[in-house]
Parts: sequence; structure tokens; C-alpha cells
Amino acid sequence: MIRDAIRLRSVSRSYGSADDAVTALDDLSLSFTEGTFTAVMGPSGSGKSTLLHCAAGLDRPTSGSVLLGETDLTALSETKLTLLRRQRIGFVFQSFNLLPALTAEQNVALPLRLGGRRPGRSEVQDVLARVGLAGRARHRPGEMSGGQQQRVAIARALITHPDVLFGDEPTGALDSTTGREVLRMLRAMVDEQRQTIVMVTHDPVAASYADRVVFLADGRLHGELTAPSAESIAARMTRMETVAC
Amino acid sequence: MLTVTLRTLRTRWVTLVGTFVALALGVALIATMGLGLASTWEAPAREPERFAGAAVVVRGADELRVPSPIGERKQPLARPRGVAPEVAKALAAKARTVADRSFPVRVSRRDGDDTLVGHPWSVATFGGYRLNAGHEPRAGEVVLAGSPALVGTAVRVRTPAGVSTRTVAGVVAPVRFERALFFSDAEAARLSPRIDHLVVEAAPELVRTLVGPGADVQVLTGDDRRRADPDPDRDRDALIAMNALLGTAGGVTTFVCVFVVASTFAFAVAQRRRDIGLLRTAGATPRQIRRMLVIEAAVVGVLASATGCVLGSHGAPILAGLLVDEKLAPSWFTIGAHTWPYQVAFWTGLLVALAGVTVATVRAGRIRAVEALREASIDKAMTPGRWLFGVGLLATGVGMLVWRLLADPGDALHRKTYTTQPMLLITAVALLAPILVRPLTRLLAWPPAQLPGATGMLVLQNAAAGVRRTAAVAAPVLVTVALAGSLLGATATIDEAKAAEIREQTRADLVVRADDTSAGFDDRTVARIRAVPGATVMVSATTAVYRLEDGHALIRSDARAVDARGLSGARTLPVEAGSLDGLDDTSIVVNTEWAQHTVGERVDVWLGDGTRTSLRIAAVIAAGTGDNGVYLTRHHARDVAPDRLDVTWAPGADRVAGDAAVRAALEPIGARVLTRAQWIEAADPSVSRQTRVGYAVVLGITLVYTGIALANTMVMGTSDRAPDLATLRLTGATKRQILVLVGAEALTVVVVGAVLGSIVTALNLLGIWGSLAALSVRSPIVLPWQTLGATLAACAVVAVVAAMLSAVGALRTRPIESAGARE
Repeated sequence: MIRDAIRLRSVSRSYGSADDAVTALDDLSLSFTEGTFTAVMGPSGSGKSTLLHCAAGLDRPTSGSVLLGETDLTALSETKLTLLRRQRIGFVFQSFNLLPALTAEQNVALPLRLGGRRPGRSEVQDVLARVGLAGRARHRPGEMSGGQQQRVAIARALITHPDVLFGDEPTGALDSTTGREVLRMLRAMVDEQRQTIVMVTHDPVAASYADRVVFLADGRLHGELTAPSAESIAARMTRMETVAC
Repeated sequence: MLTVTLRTLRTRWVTLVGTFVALALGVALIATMGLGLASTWEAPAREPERFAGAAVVVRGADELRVPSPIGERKQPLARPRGVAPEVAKALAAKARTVADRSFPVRVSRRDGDDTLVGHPWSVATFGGYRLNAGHEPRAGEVVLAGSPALVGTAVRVRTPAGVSTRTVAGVVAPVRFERALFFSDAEAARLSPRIDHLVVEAAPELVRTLVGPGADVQVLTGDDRRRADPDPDRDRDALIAMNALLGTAGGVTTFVCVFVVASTFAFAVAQRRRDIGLLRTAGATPRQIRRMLVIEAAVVGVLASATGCVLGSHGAPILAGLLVDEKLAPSWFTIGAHTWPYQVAFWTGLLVALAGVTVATVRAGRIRAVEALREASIDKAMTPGRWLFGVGLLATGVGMLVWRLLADPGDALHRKTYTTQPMLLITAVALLAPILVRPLTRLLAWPPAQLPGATGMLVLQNAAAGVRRTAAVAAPVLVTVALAGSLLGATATIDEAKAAEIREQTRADLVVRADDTSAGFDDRTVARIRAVPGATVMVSATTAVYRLEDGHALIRSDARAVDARGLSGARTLPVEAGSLDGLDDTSIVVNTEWAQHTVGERVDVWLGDGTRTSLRIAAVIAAGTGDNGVYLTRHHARDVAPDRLDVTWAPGADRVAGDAAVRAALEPIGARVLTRAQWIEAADPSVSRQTRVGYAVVLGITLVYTGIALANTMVMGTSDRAPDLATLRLTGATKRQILVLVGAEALTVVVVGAVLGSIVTALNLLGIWGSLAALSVRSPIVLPWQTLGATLAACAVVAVVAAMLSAVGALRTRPIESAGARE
């Protein structure tokens, strides 16, 4: 049975005061199917990061609603939303956002410990093994490469078994080889564990790992591609940018 | 380059405001204390009063002058001399002279007893006295200040010669400088044969020639005549205590300010590692970085120091008011117009700011661009310089402590010693703190880190990873706890030791102190108390003995002139050699502070009135806390009235009746009669109220400053943590969890600081305890737990509140934005 993990209904998000408001999302409706890998693309300022933040409950839409399964994120209090994020949403940032003072395994265990549960040793080890860092549990972020740090960040996002894993340019700070390794790993999670992944990227090669690519421009949906190749994505992007100019 | 400086001034405002606040308040404190101190150096000039109308006043020497190879040594005499009768006679032969005498008299009136000073009537005119009514006193009559209605009434007057009833012959207007009772010249001469001053109506040069250079008198003219006024040094004496207090206060606050400012500036630079890294990647040379940071520190330093001076100029009068209100300063005490305190405060502030930044920039300049850009990694705990200075200072501090213990244990009890000793150790421990921080936080946070929650783990990891940061934030707590513990602990321990000494030494059943120590007890009263059945009375008077040590140091020792036979019965003194019973009119009991302290040897001394004599050492007692003076017999202080009586009851004596008899005998002259227990309790150890209140004021001011500094570093430290906090929130921490974490971290830092401060306190107090033991005073270490606890609680509250408030500020922005700020 095909179900949507996340649905955005007429979501708008604008910044600034009423007079000179900047609209980042303009009445956008979109859903992400369970067990699929979606890439969100678009030129700078198209609202793709805002879309991700609103979908992940990190930001609140000005209007419209965001449904995670049956839960409306926009109706939750700040604390409830935080708790829900902690339990059901994983987020990976371009800049890793690890705590420098904690070791890899402590960083990974953090979401569970914040929930008041001390994870078992094997639980953390398993997740670290899944991202290929079995031997690095005791290292601190400063002692690891960028790719390794991003894997720790992914492991931290996965430890709670989230409904959806969001990635905001997760390979943006990595070199292409390391980036490809991370992408292959994400792809494998979708294929093997039916993990739902939504990823913002501007790299056509990265987007080509996804099942589906949605294009945004000026806060609105601007078409999509299914099972795309890097070339077709790149061609679409070039077209979009010429239109925009 | 300057634009970069100005731009960073705008962007790193929390750090800059933090350093500005620490520096401005520090400079304000230094300026305030400096102004206070400067104002204690000059007592207001006062005009001569009692002899304002006399041209020349001759008086006996009031200081002992002893020639030595390095010049004449001087010490004020315990008992100034009178004018020798030969001198008076010689002067009277050439010019008109008026003899002045002063002696205590007690006047009984309906509304109670009153102690006045008796003088011959002839000197009244020089002090500006004029008869308002009646006539000058003849034999059996007196003149006093009061209403004309008193003329003709009778007053009961007690003089050294006894009690008699006298008629008031006349009245004068009251004066500010004394409360006098005038007798006829002949009667005054009979009551007090000694001539205290001699007014000579002749040219000063003539008087000087007549007196001759060798005579032991002073010839006072002009403003010098003030020396003949009652208690001419009272203004200066009041200032001496203030000077010592403010000197200590100035030393302590300057140390605290320098310490706090230097560590705040160094901390600020350490916080900016990342900025520096960015500038380095952008192509700035280490030299340019250093210049930028130094210029920035100079801008902040000048502005903050100037602000501090302005604050200080407002703070000093407040301090003066506080000191007057607390009766620490005389009521006329005000802040004078002095400029040097501003200079000292301004330049100290600026230099410390620059020095703190320079030391930190040497390190910062060395940071490689890439290194700095990496995620704030684990602090490198110790640099070679830190090791060098930390270990060096620690060795010096502990070395001095041990050396003092072996060479001069009495020195440890001096105020200068026990206020400076902690400063060395505080600085040493602060420098070495990073080594101690990690094991300490491990110990503290390990148990909570085992809980399932995240807080314990985060506290442990953050504190241990940011070792230098933890050490820097803990510094104000360290200095607060160490100072409060060391200073209050030292005074309390020394107080306790002195009390223990008194407890041990007092054997008498009753101790009687004269109300008016200058008057003392007359022979008749003493005889009457001696006559009480079953009473053994030891009479003692306060005097001093002077000796020349090493051929050039004229040293004064407080001495008690006692009854030869009574000493061992009334006191238990810590005798080291010889026997107290060996004390007679040709001998002396000295303490171990004397260079010469071998029983049986002779020692050359000067007595309280300057008479030179040679005495045999009968016994040697331990120096103790410094109050074990020396003892000689009353033969050597014959003209000093005794001011203390130790009464011991014979076995089987009727104590109740005896007690009543003693009190009855003392009733007419007024005295404090205390039982042994009361005496021990009331005995005011020589760390006086003034010292204690003084310390409370000094420490209070210091604590307020360190409190502000603590809040300041907390805010600076927490603002620096904004990216970490944002990451935590993105990871799913609620705001409450963040606040709890920040609070717990602040508390951990306070505990770390408290433990470090306690180490310093323990070292200092052990040193004092050891010195006391070396002085053969066995007395426990006393810690003012309540004050320390309150101080610590205040630190904890300040730290937690400051950290939480600034965290609340950091939480206001969306985590997604502040996390991005890291890049």
C-alpha cells in the first residue's frame, strides 16, 4: 500500500513585515511518499530550504498545514513540536552541526538521551556500522574528515528510526567522491529499509540518486521528473534558469 | 585595517561589552580605593588650642632618641617626661614662667560621675578661658565650665590625693578641646608635682639658649604648640588605622581587578579564535592580527579606564561616607582633591588590558589558518608559559610559606603577610587550573553522566573539552572563595588563637580594668582591695620597653609593670626558660622575639619614660601571637597608675563577700569588674572590630565586583555557546532542557572554582596554623563557614541566573539561523 509520509497543504511562508514581505513559499502543496527518495531542486531563492524547514517542523508556515502521517505539525506547541521532531524526524545539515565536545557515539546517542532514554551500546554501534563508522565511535568531530562527520550526523538522524530523513544539501560540504559515497548510502537505506528521504540539493548528480526530483521556482512547484538521469536534470535546471532570466 | 577593527567592534559586542564592564568597574574600584588612601595621608591641619595665647611652651621629651651608626633612631615614649625642676628653675630665673600640670579628676554631681582633667588656673588664660561669673579659684575652690548658677555650689572632687568637697568659685565657657577643672596654682602643684608644660614669656631664641642643646626638653613655638594640646595625634591616629585598612583594601582590590581584567581580556581573545582564523585565511599576517587585537584593546581600554575614573570619582565619596557610618573613619573624614589615584587607576587598567591581550595574541597569532577554522576542537590545556609561571608562582608561594614557618613564624600573623600570601597562590592555582579542571569535572559530573538523560553527559563533556574556558569562567569564583576563605579564615584563626592564649594565661578569679586607663587606680583604692579578706591582688600597669637590636633598630615592646611576687600566681605564661618567680626590681621577663633571650644575661633597655637601664633576664616566655609582651616590676614605672588588677581568692575564702567588697571599693572611681569567665569572653582579641568590619567592607566591595565579573564571563561564555545550543535544539532538545543544561554547567563551573579556591584557602590557613604551632599556640583552624557558604551561594545564584538569562536570549533566535551562524 502506498502512503504519504508527509503532506504539505497550501503552505505559504513569508518573511518580514506586511509592507515589504518576501514570499519564500507561495501556496505550495506537495506530498512525499513513504519509502521513496525525493530531491528538491531550484535556483537560489526558490524557497527549497524553507520548504524543507517547514516540512521538518523547524520553521512554521505563515499559512497552510504540514501533515506528518496524521499529525498536523502547524497545530503543535513549540515543545510538542520539538518532542515530535526528536522522535519522528531526522535532519542532516550541510554543516553537520555536531557537538564538538562529544564523541561520535555520544553525538549519535544525543537525541535518545534528550528523550530521557540511555541507548544500549549495540544500538549505537549498529547505527554507526550502518553508516560505515564502526571503528570511529570514540573519536570527536575534530578528529574526523568531513565525510565521516556527515556520516555521524546521518547516524544521529537515524537512531530514532525517523519517519522521514531530511537532508539540506547533505553533500554540499563534501568532495565529489565522499559525496557520492554518502549518496549511495542514502540510496541503500531507501532500497533496503524503505526509509523516506527528502533532500535539498543543487547538484544534478546528487539529485540523480533520487526516485523523483521536484523543481521549485519563486516558492511554487515548477514541474518534476521521475527516475531522472543527471543529464536530464541538468538540462531542466538550465532551462529553468534561462526562463528566470 | 582600522575599518576591520571598527567592524569587529560592532560585531563582537557581547565580548567587548564584557571586557568593557570588567575593566571600567575594575578601574573605578582602584580609583575609589586610591582616592580613599590618598585622603588618609594628611590629617587636617589644626591650630594650637590650649596654648594658643602663649609665645613659647617648654615640655619634656615625648620621644626616645637613641644614637646609632646609621643616625639617630626615634620612638615615641610610652610615658612622656615632665619638665625637670632644674630646667624650670633656670628658666624662671630669667623670665616669667607659668607651670602647667594635667591630672585626672573625678567630679560627682547629682547626675552622675564625670572624669575631667585638672589644671592650675594660671594656664587657663592661654587657652582663651574667661571667667563668666565668680572669681579665680583660691585654696579649696575650683573653676569649671558651666552655667553661672553653679557659682557657690559645692562639688565632690576625687583627685589623686583623695576625695574632698570643694566650692565652685567661678565658671567659664566650655571649650571643644578639653573638659577642665581648674585649681589654684599651689593646690595643683601639690596634687600633681610634675610639670607637664612650662609657658615661658621670652623670645624663643633666648629660651633655646637657656635650655641648652643637651637638655631633655622640647621648645614649642608657632604651630608646634599644637603638640601640647590634649591628644594632639588623635586625628593622625584615626587615620593610621584607616590608612592600614584602605592600604589593604587597595592592595586586595587592585589584585582582584588586575586578575579579573587580565583573565577577561585573555578569555575574549580565546573566544575569537574563529574570527582570527577567518582573517588569517583571508590573508592577514599574524602581525596584522596582533595589531588589530591590540588596537581594539587600546580603544576599549582607554574608553573603559576613562569611564572607570569617572565612576571612581563618584564612588570615593560614597566609600568615605560608608567608612564614617561604620565608625571606621573619623567623622571629619572626606575625600581630598588628589590626581594620582586617577593616574594609577587609568594606566593600570589600560596596561593590564593591553598585557592580557598581548599575552593572548602571541598565542592567537600562532594559530594556523586551517586550525582555527576547524570546529572548536578540544582546548589544549596548558602552554609552556602557563606551566612556567604557574609552577614558579606555586613554588614561590609554598616556599615562602615554609620558609616563614621555619625562620619567622610570627610574620605569618601580620596583616601584610596574610593578605598578600593568598594573592600568589590564587594566581598560581588560576594558571594551573586547566590541569585540575578535567579530573575535577570528571569527578563532579561522572555520577549524573551515568543517568539516562543527556544533561549529565553534556555537562561532563563540555566542561572537560573546554578546559580553558571552564578555567577562565571559574576564575572569579576562585578569587572570591580564596580571598574570603583566606582573609576571614586568617583573622578568625588568629582571633581564636589569641582567645585561647587569654584563656590559658588567665588564672585570676576576678579581673578589674580601670574605666579610664589614663587615670588608672590610685594607691588608696589598691590598698583597699588588697585588704579584702582572702584576696591576692596582682597590680599591673601598661608601659613599654625599648631596645636597640642589631645596633640600629630601636624596637618598642609592650610591657606590663607588675608586682614582683604576684605574676606566677595570677597568670600562666608560656615560660620557655627561667622562672617567673625570679622577677625582681633588677630583672625582666622577655619573650623569644628578643634577639637576646638567654636567662641570666643582662640586657640594655630604655624604660617607658626613656630612662636607660640594664636588667637581668629572669625568664623567657614564648612570643605567642604577639600579645605576650614583656614583664618588669612596678619599680620601673613608678609614676604610671596601674590599670589592671588580677584578684585571686585564697582557698576557702568567702568569694561572694569578697566579690562584693571589691566592687564596693571600686565604686567611687568606676571600673569594670569581670569574673574569669566574663573576662575570657569579653577579652577583645587584638584583631579589633575595626579590622573585622574593615575586612567586611573590603571583601564586600570585592565580592560585588567578582560577582559582576562572574556574571560577565558567564554571559560571554554562554553567548559563545550559541551555535552549540542551536545544534542541541536541532537535535531535539526542548528549551527547558537547554536551560537546565546551561544552569547545570554554570553550577559545575562554580563548584570547580570553589574547589580551587578551597585549595588556596587550605594552603594559607595551614600555613597560619603551622606558624601558630611554631609559636607554641595550640589552637584550631577556624573557618567562617556561614560567610563562605553565603558567598558560594551568591556565586552560584549569580552564575546560574546570568548563564540562563543569556541562554534565554540565545534561544530567541530560530535554531536554524544560529546554527548557520557558525559558518
